[in-house]
Amino acid sequence: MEVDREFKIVTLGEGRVGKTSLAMRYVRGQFNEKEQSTTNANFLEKNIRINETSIKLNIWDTAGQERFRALAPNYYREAKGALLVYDITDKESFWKVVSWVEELKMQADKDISFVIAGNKCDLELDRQIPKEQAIAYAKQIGAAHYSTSAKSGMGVNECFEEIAKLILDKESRSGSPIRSSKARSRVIVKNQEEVVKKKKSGGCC
Amino acid sequence: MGTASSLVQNTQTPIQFKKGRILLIAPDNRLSKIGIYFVHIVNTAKMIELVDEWEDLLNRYKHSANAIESLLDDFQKGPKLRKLIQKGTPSKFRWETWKALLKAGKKVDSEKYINLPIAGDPHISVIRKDVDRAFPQHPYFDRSKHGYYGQTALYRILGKFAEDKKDIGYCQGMNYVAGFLLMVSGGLEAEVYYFLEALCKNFHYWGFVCEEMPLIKQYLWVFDKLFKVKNSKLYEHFKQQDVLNDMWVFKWFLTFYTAVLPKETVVLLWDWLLVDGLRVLFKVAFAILEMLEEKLLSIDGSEILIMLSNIGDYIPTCKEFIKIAKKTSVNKSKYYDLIEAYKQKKKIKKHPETITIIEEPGHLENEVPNISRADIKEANRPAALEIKDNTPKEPDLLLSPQRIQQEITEDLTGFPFKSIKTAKNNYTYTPKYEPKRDSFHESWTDVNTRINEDSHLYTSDEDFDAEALLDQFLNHSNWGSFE
Repeated sequence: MEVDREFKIVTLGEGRVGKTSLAMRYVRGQFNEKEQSTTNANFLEKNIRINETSIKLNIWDTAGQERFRALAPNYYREAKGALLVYDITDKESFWKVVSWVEELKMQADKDISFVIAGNKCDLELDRQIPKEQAIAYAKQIGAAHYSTSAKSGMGVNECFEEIAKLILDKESRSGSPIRSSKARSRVIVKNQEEVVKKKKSGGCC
Repeated sequence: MGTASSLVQNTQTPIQFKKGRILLIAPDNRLSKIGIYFVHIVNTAKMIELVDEWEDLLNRYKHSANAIESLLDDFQKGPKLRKLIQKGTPSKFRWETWKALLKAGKKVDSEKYINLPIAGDPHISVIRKDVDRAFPQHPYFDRSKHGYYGQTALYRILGKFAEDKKDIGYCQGMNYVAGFLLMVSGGLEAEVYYFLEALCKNFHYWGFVCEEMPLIKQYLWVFDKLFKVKNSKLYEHFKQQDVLNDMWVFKWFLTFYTAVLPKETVVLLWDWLLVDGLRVLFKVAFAILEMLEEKLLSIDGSEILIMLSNIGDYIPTCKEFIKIAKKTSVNKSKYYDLIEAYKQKKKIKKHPETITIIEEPGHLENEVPNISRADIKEANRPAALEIKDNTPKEPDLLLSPQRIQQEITEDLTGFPFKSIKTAKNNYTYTPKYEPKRDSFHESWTDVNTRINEDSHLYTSDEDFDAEALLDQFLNHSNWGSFE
């Protein structure tokens, strides 16, 4: 199959919010409670078609545990889209999304597109994050918000395809495919390390 | 039923067949009650020969408290031991051998283990999720057959470990290592806990999994340098494709390959690793790269990463692979120079509790403890035991039924899986004290196909049909006749 575009998307979020389940659900169309845990990252791909454009999505599904966080810049630099996942039954996981947004704004590609996914919405009864609050936040940072459930499949395709659409939109507006230059990203990496260190010593979260 | 359980109590003696032996192990010797078994099959002439060789050797030490430990002490001089273990330790002796190699045996204290508290958040919620994701295909962790038995054991090991070793806590990836050890040991929970501790202290594993991960950073740095020299073509290709070592070899090292290679391969790899030290990690990595080089050069970044995270699908079967990996050279002096260089660079902190028995990889070549066989025999004189007593011992964990009951009730109160509701009835964790013949049979054959690395290794050798024998064995009305 011929591919017109190739986009790299990274999933970010606290450990166990369901990043891997979402990605697997999307790519393989199934929910597997027996999913393997992620140590550094999983690498997946899926071919889709949006408005006559065939796109290969490379999904880099990162580990959420705090001690792997220093690795994250390797994954999100060069990424054109980020899926930020939180667990609707876990307040802290939402604050983690907020902190990821801050980090990405500073460190990632300027044109990176965000989508926020409130996962596990099959557990509506245990909800701790009011949907309105999450939507309002997403709006504020110019991102789309989706309620997803890797278990039922709700919102899964939509959120990934939304990212692809956002990236395509940005490309068509800027008139040419966005290409992040390597030279630039190398420089960014250096900065990232510094920032990450600073953040650590500051002791956030 | 009665005959079945009497059979089970006798798990440490292999059942003899004309052309082979079958050994049954029940996890912590209690699970016979709900139908999980670890089955070791010795099914070829070659393997029988090897087991006999071991038994002959161990027989020399039958007067010492732990024959395997004594044997290894005597064999410290290197090549002999290496040769012996690297033929592939017979699975019957593997766990005891590993424990002896890491000096973990003496540390096991089941009573203390039971009373260790389980960690709270942030670790426990990650552990809860991760125990569910370690080797779900393996019968021991198969929820549809045995409820959460394996998961609960793993949960307790990791939870207690995270609480007790605060500087390490829980690191994602440990679930694979501990889960793998549970399978190798035959579900000996307390022993796995202390083995994990010994792995941290005596085998530098702490440096891979503690918060700052100093050693994994060190070894990745060293790996990068070696990679550049060893295979500059591939190195440049990876660089061009933005594939960083962090993205693939990180996981291989962090989990000592338990998460990436087929179990049968990992078992042999660890036989080798625990004797030769951490340099083995490098040899294996380079062996894999060498095997896949051509293919890797022809694909792009994300395809490389996908391939490298599913290497099990691309490399040869276990024994063949290990053979190739052993031939892969990693220049020793260069390797140590690089480690030194890195340490100079970072002025690495030493773990305060680390007792370095294994100073650095390849320790056995350098260090010869000055103990004679006479010393060992003398020291161990009081216990004049039969050799049989040196095979894996039943831990004191579960001496009385009350104790079992108490433990299980405790499990249930703090049970990690309450929130997961499955429609299936067999989800309930409460062990049934009468074995169910059906599940018994099912798990049995399943375990047979999954667990037994020996039969996997030596398939071509003889026409011993273990599965048919097992069937015959299971359907036989008179269990006693096989003993």
